Amino acid sequence: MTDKPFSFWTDQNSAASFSEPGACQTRATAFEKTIRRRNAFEYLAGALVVVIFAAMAFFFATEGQWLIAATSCATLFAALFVVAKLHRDGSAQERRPEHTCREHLRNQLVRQRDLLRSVPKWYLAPFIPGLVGFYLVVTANVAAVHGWMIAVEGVWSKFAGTAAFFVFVAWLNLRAAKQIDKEIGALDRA
Amino acid sequence: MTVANQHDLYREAGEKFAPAIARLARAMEYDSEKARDLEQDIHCELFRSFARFEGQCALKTWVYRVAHNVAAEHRLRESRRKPAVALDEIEDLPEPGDAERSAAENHAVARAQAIIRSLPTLDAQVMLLWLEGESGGDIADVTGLSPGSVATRIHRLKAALASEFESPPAPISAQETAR
Repeated sequence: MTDKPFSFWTDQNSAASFSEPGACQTRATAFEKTIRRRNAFEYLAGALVVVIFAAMAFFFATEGQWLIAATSCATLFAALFVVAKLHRDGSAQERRPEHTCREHLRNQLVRQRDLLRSVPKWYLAPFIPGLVGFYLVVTANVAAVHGWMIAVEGVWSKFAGTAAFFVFVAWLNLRAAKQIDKEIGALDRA
Repeated sequence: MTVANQHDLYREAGEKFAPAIARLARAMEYDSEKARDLEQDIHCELFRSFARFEGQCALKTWVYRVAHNVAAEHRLRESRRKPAVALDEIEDLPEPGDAERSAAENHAVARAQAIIRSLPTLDAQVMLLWLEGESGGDIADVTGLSPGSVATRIHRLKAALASEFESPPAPISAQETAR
């Protein structure tokens, strides 16, 4: 259809032209910048966690506290797992902007929803062995000196706080996933 | 697809659709710098996409799909915090502010852009393609909505907007401004 019923609209920007193709070879699009920023953040966070928990593991190992060193190693591996998962999923993202608008939007929303919905499984769960192990070992160490009552009394509120934080993060992500699910439903009904 | 073909397609798309893509970018993004960035992103995404173009659909459909999808991603990144307004509630939208009005070439364009930015993505895409004069069938091909769904949306748009856009107020002349 060549009919232009809204000339007030189509008269705008009539002299616009495309960028030179050569400019596209050096230009990073906003999408690519987002991926680069995210990757840089992941590597930085990963490096930080590796350095901190490797140092802790080394320190406790040299002190002969093998169990604490083991919990530090568990946390270190959990962080590495999370970063690797983020990187793998991000890299596997297929980019096809030539799909229909509805399909493209739906794919994006489904990807976001699935990522948020699975946060408890791949983002929170890997840290649980290290954290629970740490609390258990510290409690046992204190109990060996002061008895179990005092040890549990000292640690329970901190443990409950940590658990509550994990539950809260999981709830926030599941709530966001539910919201996106509604958007997908609306899109399917459109 | 050869590199020469890719360049040919890009040149052809530029000749036919560069103004529509400029309007799309300015409608989806209020900030002029960001709109210019978005426009260039669309150009580059189009150039890259032509390496995959093998006549799966009409060139126009391909160009509009890529352009609208890149713009939709931009919206998702930049404006997710702003709630969208359903097509039925367009009439209740506030008038554009002075800054927006003076930035646009006339009141009708500013009003249309403000509405597009407030609509859910698919509705905004239908409105933009409708303003470009595309048929219901072409809009359905680009958006992936059924022809019936597109027709319903256009009907609502017409009911809500046509009277306003058919007789946009004349731009204020320098003489009138001086009074």
